[in-house]
Amino acid sequence: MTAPPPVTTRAELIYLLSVAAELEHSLACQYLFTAFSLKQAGDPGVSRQQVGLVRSWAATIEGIALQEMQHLALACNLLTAVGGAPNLRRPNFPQLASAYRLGMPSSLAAFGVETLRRYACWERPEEPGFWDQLCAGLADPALAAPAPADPLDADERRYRTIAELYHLIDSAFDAIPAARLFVGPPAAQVGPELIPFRPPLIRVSDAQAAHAAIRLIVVEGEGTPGHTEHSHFARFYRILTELRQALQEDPAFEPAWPVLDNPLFDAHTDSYTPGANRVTDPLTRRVGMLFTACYDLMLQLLMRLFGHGGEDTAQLRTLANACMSLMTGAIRPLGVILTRMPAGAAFPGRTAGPSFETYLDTQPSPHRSSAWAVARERFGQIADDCEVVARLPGAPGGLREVALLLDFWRGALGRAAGRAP
Amino acid sequence: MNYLALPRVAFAGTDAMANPSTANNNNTMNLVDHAYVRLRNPKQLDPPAYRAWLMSPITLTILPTPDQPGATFASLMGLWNYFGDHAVSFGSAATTSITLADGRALLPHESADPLLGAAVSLSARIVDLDPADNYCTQIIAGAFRVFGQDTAGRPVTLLHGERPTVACSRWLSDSRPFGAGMFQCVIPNERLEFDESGRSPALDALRAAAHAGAGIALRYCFYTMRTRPGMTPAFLAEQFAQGVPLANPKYGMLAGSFGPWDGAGLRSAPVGRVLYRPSSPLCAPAPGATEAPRPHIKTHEDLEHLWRGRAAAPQTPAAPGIGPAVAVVDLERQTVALDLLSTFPEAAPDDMTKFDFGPVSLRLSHTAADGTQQDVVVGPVAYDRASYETFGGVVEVPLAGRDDVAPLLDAGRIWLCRDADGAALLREIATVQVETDDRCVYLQEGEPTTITVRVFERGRPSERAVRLRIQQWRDYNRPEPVDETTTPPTVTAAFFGYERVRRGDPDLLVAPAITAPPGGVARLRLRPRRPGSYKLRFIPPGAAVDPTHPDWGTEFFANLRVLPDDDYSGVGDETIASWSFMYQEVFGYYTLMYPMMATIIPWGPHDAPDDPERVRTFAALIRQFVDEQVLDSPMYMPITRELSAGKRRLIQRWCELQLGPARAQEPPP
Repeated sequence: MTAPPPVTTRAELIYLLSVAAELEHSLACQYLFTAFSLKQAGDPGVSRQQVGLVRSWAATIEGIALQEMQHLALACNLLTAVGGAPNLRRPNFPQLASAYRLGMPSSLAAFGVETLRRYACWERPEEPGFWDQLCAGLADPALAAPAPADPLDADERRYRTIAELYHLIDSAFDAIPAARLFVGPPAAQVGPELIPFRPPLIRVSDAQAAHAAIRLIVVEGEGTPGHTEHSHFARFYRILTELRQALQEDPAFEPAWPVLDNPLFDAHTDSYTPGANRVTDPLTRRVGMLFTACYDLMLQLLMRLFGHGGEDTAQLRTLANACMSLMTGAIRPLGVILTRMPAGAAFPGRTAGPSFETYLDTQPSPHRSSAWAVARERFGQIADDCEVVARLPGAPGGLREVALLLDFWRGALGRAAGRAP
Repeated sequence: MNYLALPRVAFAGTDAMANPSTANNNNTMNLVDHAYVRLRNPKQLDPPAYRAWLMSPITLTILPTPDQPGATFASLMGLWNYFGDHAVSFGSAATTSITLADGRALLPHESADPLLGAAVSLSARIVDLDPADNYCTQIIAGAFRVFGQDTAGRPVTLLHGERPTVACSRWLSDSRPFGAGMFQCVIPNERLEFDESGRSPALDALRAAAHAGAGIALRYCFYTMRTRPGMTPAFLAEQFAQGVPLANPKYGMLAGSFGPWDGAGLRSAPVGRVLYRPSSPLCAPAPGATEAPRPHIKTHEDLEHLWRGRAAAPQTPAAPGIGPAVAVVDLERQTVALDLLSTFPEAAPDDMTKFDFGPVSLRLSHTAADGTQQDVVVGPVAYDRASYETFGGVVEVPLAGRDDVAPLLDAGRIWLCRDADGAALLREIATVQVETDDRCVYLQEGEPTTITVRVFERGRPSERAVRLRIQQWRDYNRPEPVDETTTPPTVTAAFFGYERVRRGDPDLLVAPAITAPPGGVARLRLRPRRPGSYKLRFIPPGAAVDPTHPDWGTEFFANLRVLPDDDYSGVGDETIASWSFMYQEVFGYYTLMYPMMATIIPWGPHDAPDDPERVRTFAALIRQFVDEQVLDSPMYMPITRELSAGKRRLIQRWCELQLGPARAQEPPP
């Protein structure tokens, strides 16, 4: 394939960066779902000897998901730098294979051979290699539609891998004069002092930083140029190999809970996709809605963080920390809980899982004071509901711990906004 | 000043939960040097091995004391709850009555007010100031909530109180099965949100009363808290061996109430006319009143052990001990509100009916015009289980129509009488009441601090100057070596006790006496010199206290924990930025002793320090959670609060190094 012509317009660059942000976001959710589906010590189907292996898989996949979040953050920084809006929206699962114009399926699925193969292939290096055979037949070329170019440009853009998508994006930073391209305020960039990803988050205000950000994403993801053992592809492939070997040694090995593919707790007018499985168990639904509310709140906060205006340093720190804390102290524990809860009578023997569903109203609020007030109120509402659900017969443990965390951030947001004592 | 003001809402529950980790809640002297907040690691085990060691079985020996025999039983090196996360909850507690401003009581079957039968919750953590002591427990809450239902049956938040003040245990009782302790806190108006839909007239009345004062006061008592059957050391060890981080919380009973707070009095202690056992050194000497020997209770484990022994060898008991009470006289409403939250014991560990003392009445002893001492019955006192749970341990004794009593109340002494033989169960103390909201205070070695002590006389701030004697007691614990020659190893519980810190002792941090001026507010200057855990015993005039054996269950005192002067100011950034240094100095301790903290901030990977990059990702969050400004929040880290100022500065420097420009400019790979 010959190198496509460079991207030369801001509009096209913003579009491709928005696709990239959505894609990184979707991958992070899928990886987290799979990691949460893994069993833990004491669960049936996992021997004492296998616990260490399963734990290492969970840690590895969660680590990759964290890097996808970093890539999402970098994409948002790149968008802001060139005058776009941070993009934290995405379709619900299962997504159409045409969603990112790669023809690859995106769905929430339990840990297993096929899921790992799909993830490895999402992250495949762009050069030819053994992965071509691994991934044969997975992508539907018919659905790998060309991306629309700038309406003012007659060309169509086609990319076969994530790496190629980023190469296209990268080309814009050489093709478009920096003085014209970087119109975003430097102060709008979210840096490592707010979210201490490793390696550090890059603030983008010139072409050099933009190239560095893209290089970081591509190297961590697909390992290109040159296949590296720390790339996402390599790590997924290693887990796949280990799983196949473990299953060969012990066919009774069941490392994951029998979670539903693409669980959903609500019907969505904008994005209800055939193939989603609506969870029917009443208690599971209540916990699922708690998860969804926390996830939605985190997205709102991230939108505010990446699209901030008027917040001081302390307020930005509070926003960033609240997001981080929601991820580790609410989304993760609730996600794990859901993979152990029954999906409902329509799905005998199956458990649910975190749906990562989003609603129409998952939108950034452009007004600082109201955004903070709404977020603070929302923390309180979800905490209240955690307490309500925790009292229901058969409610799982851990909900009150989530409430404790939400209460803290409710207060912290209030204090940071100057509203509460 | 009335912490039992109306309208007052009572609540009760049967499944309250407390999940402290044992390293903060027990005698773990073999494992931890609490004064300097560091591990004892005599075998120099590496982190994974040390963790495994903590989860391994032992035989625990408690040495005999003059008051009780010793014992030997199976346990674990990390004792009964290595994986405790310090959570506390009210479980499924619900409101049981509302006593309205006019004294009428609403009960659930008598009213449709949604505040009746409403769910009551507290999201909080339990933290001992001194891990090796039983009398210094703090409840640090994030929120207090009351939920009702709307007409469609949907849950609705009736009341939300953000960050109640820290509650500290008072009147711990070993007479009630598996112990009991009461807590009190307040929520100022600016942190309260009421449902204002008008659906609950009682709530509207409470809101109006709260807004007329300073907020609401919340008081509650945990009792009969014990671990669930089957959670034996052998079972826990088996689970741990499978890799399951199983927590072993205690569950039990709860009763309490909340009502308007007028802003006077104390936040954390009931103030009123205090009634103690007649044998108390704070009561006027009573003929025949002799103090029964007190069992040697210093830690929660001791209490559990005591009651395990009693449960295993039941015998017809003599009347069990009785706890303190507080009377609040309200002449305007013509009533005496009697706080019996911590007073009457239950019959047995599995029988929550109250021990039957027969009919009991509230009486008043006064000096008649002819100079003789006379008693008058104020009224009967209902102390049965139903009354206790329905009214949150408060009994209202009416004075209406009792013109023979009301005028005498101010001068007389209240007492609680067992009618059958006229014996005094409790008598009003003859001394002033000395209390402090600075009940549990963390100090930094070398940093002088002031605490405030309040003096009350018959429930009112003392109008005269009162000179208080102050004794300082040191909590001392000497670890015993682990006997590894037995299988499993044998651990002898550390020898422990309290000893006076006398003049000339380098640990002495307070003057031996202070005079509280009229108004009853004394400020006490403390000069902490050496790390450790101490108690300041406040001895009011006229108190004939035991000089060698304080009764921490009822006496007036404050707990102090002096944290060490850890000085890292000479340590360079390069050293601090290195993971091994930080793990050795700070993170490793919390990771190993309190593994559940790592679920909040993964500052120590679960099994070993093998993922420092992940910890660094949380630097901003760590900086926020260790900030001293959130010390009264349940999310403060470390949960156990045993972080010296020096180590806090060290963590903050480490955080800044992770977040600062030097690292921020690192090129990507």
